[in-house]
Amino acid sequence: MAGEKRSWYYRLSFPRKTALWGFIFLLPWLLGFLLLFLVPMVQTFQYSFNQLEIVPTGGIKLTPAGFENFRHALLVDPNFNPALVNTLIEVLLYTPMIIIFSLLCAILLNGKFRGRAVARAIFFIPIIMATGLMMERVTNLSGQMQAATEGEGAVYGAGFIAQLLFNLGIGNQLVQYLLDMVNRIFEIISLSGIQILIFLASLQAISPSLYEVAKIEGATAYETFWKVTVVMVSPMILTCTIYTMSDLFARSDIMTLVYDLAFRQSRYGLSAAMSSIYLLLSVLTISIVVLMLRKVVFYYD
Amino acid sequence: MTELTERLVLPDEKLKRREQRKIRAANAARSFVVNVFRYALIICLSYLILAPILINISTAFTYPKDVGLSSSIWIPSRVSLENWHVSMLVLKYKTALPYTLVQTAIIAILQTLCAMLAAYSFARLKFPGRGLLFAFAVFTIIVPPQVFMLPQYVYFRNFDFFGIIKAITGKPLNLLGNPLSLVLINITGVGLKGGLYIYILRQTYRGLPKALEEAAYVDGAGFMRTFWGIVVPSSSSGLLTVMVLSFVWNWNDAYYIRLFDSANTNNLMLAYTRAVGSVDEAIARIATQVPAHYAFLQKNPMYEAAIGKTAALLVFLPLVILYLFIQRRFVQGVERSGIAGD
Repeated sequence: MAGEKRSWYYRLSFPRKTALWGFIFLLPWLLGFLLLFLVPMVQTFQYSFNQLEIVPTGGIKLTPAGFENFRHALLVDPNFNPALVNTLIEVLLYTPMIIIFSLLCAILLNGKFRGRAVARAIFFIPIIMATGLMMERVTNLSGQMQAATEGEGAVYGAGFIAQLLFNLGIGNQLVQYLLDMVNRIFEIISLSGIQILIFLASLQAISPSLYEVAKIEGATAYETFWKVTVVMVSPMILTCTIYTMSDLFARSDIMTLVYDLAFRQSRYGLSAAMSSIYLLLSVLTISIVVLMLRKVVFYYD
Repeated sequence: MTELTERLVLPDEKLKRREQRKIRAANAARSFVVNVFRYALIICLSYLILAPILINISTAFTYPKDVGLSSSIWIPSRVSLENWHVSMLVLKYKTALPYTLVQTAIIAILQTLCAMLAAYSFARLKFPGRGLLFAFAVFTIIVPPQVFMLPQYVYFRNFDFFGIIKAITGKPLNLLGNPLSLVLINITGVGLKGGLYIYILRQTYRGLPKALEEAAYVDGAGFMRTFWGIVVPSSSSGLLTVMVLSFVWNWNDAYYIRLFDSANTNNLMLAYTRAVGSVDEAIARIATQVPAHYAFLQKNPMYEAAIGKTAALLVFLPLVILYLFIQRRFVQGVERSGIAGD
């Protein structure tokens, strides 16, 4: 019996064996993907077109409701639309900030300088403070302190800098954006740990010969930065953008709203409809951004 | 010999040297400016990162009645450990800490295991439909997990595996409140950021020299043996990266535990979230356990804030200790893991 089995396996060609083992290795993930991801996704859509009740025995009862849940979510519920718009604005606003900030940090940390190990250890602390909740708690007091000393909500003495930048002739909107970045620096730091790490790794992976060539050709440091460094890390900019956006979407207020609707108010159908809308919105936004960035990204082969 | 050449240097040669020296001086000046700039930025940013933590540590050590006084912001005027003790009682730290450590470690190991297997399959083992499935794996990264909370909740409420359990016991299993639900969701790679680990490890495996595995196959090793004997040991830095990230993220997250096991009182993050939601109630609940000589203040917002902050530090502390131990290896590991490869 065992011999028969052996011979069956041994008669397979190597590519066949590879395919078989590839499937076996993938099996745990594949099961999870089908049963706990794909089916739930379909079910979320299904629930959103129904009124859902959980019967005491644990099963669920569906009553078709057409587009009623969607109508309620978008037209009746007072919290959903503002939260949706807010989230979208926040994601589109924060993502470039986080990418720029983390690239800057990675470049700062990349060169050889004294105290590099300490600086790295400090810069990666945000990774272990990965939750907004924690950061909020931790930063609370300093925020209060600053607010007390400045009178305004701004964290740092931004008025002076704003005036300076404005006098330098930088457009008002750009100044506003930079000020926003300064005011949200705590949130940005707390969200960009992994991105710094990825950028740092990709900076280390750039072949030194490229810099040598640039030097021999007489490129200035500025040119070298834009034409070698940025180009070479651009694939990672794409990766980081995807990661950052999905991270921001997963942290949104909408998720609290959806959770409360389902588990505090038992309005399952409405909650599912909101989830569906949110899912479509986040996937669509990320896809559009990725398609736009893809044209700019340089792939080195 | 050198002296001789030194003396015999021609005038234009001398000129060249002088020029070179000038260039070198200019370079030194430039690198000095760059370094000053770099240090200034690094120090500023480090301050931004560390200041809130340091302020909170100072608050945590402040005598309860002094919290919020302007004389006690950076250095407490009266030092005491009372806030730590009260916060530990609020979080039930003595039981919650070991429980959460074990729970998170198990979750991290399960997630890494699943991601390892799937990532190796995606990186090296060709089979039809692989490209499409990998696209799905990347897709799982960008979907917010909360979108599935209802169906997943219902699924674990009425757990069944292709009708097998119903056939045996007559009714589906209720896995809510059962650690098995967390095990299942993590071993199948659907847990927190499961897709991301697959992506990272796939990059790592693709960066390994293929010749190693080929040599193993030629020498007659099977797929399992090649994987565990050759691939896993040579990708340890990537594995470390993934395991650390998984541990940290699961430590900091109470979403899945709240969803599947909402009655759990031992998970630290869950206890923390609950306590912070209403600090006054949390404080009132443990009032009887607090020693009588403590400056124990009820209905005092400043004191509540201090307890909340100390509790946050308590949750955060084990990660800091872990981080101090593995920081160097972790950072090197990320560089070597090939996250940034191809």
